[in-house]
Amino acid sequence: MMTTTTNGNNVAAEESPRSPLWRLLIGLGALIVAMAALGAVTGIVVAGLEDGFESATFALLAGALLVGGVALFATYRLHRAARQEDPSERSRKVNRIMLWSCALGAGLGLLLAAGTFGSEQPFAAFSNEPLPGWVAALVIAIWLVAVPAFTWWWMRTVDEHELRAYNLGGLTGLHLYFFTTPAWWLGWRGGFLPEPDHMLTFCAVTLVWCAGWLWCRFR
Amino acid sequence: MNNRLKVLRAERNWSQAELAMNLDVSRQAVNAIETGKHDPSLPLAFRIARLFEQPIEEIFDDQQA
Repeated sequence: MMTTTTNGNNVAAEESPRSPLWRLLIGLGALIVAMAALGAVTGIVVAGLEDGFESATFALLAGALLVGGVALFATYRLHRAARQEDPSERSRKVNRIMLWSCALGAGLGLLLAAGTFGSEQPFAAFSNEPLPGWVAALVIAIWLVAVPAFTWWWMRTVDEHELRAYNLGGLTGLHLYFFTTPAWWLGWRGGFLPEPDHMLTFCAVTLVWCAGWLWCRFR
Repeated sequence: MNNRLKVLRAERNWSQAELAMNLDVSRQAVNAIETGKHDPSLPLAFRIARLFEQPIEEIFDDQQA
């Protein structure tokens, strides 16, 4: 049975704990599609400038712009729905911090991409390829100053439920690191595993941390 | 821990979002408390009790059903 509240919200619909997670995942997907479309637009324009614009180039450009526009619009609608659903001042602050964090992450990604521009290796930004010294120094400075500051700011702002979810996710990630890193290292010394890759471990720990955090928050 | 948050909220005809706004937590936090997936801290339990003008033990019950 559905109940309508004083501000017109639907109680039965909002009590589904899964819907916010799905919205978050769809929103992230839409954001990634929008960024990919932006990259495609850049690539098509560069190719057009180098080789000349033909009707196919314009068609590709229009298609990429359309896909990017739809993805951006979907992101905006989901963001607006989330604001209406969670109107507390604390939630708004947390959302603002998350947006700034995403922008910071995108900036770090762009810096890494700029440092490996022209490389023939796919995903060079996240490989073990050498980086120009200034790029490495700048990324390290941001990683060690801005990212901890944002983390502290975020942890001071979130409510206890989210903090608990974040801590549980972090503890799960720490246990993954604790058990797999020595095993991999010993396997390498034993001659039956490749040399441990720190970035691979870092990515696995980060993924598990985020998965645990989101699962605890939205389950 | 069992609690009567959902009943008390329904009596006031509040949505989870409205209760979350009054408690200054996220809607997911209200949902997690109502469904027993998250036990609130003492400060939050006191905020809930003050909001509904009832003693904590009238809202939360540590006896396993």
